[in-house]
Amino acid sequence: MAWHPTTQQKVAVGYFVAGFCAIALLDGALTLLLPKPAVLAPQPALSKAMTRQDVTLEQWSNAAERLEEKRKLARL
Amino acid sequence: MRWSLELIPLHYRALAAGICAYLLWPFAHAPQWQWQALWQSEAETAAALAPLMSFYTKYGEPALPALNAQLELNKLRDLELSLIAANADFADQDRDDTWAEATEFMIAHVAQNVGANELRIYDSECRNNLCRIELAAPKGLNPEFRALVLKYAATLKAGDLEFHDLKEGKDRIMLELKSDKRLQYGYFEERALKPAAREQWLAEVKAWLGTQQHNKK
Repeated sequence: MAWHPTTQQKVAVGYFVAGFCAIALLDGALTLLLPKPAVLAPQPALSKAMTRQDVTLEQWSNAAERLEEKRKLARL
Repeated sequence: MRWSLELIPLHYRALAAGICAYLLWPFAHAPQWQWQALWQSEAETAAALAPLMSFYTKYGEPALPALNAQLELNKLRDLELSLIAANADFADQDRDDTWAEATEFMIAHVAQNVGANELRIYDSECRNNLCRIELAAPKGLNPEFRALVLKYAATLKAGDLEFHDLKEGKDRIMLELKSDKRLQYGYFEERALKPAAREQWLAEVKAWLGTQQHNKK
């Protein structure tokens, strides 16, 4: 006979999904509410691009410096 | 009454499992730099962001894809540096068979030809980019033997093996040599170091550099 989930199992799955979504919403709200450095406030495009990367401020600056170096080398 | 997990109602357990699943999902959390803004002062974050801000004010939005790509490439470089650090000692290294066998052969061959067969190798072992050679030194590291070892090391240096370490034992010396070859890592490390998107990141940086050159003309 084919397996069918019991009502209790269906309820458990429902709660699992609900828990997942609740934390996802909380996380989204947290990302919105967490402060952004004041220097980023006038640069919405940059701060929006930055939210996609989970790295430190220093790592962002390192990438910018490296790109600047590459540009200097490319110009030679 | 003994406590057990079953005492917690099923739906609470499922809820907790859902929450844990989400929290363990590695990409789902606020970015680190935003947390940094919480614990660092405004002056500290401004100082940390100074190079980024000057870059952005200079090149604006068209530079963003390249910046993102460079950040990913930097992450790969950091990963490689951490792997190099984790393989710094002979004991930590796995064996890169092809290189190790060829180098062990060369070590034995060079030992025969340097100093008219006066060097006796007890044992030689190569791993990922380090080689250990145990040389017989019955009279210790006396000047003649030292000269012989230096000559041996110089000959090996011509074969891309730099002197790395030397330890003196009772009747033997242990010579450690290092090659500047690229380390070979396991399947998962190699996969992490060369993701499919890597070529695209390189192309994005290159494209941006290309447009920069074009603008200059």
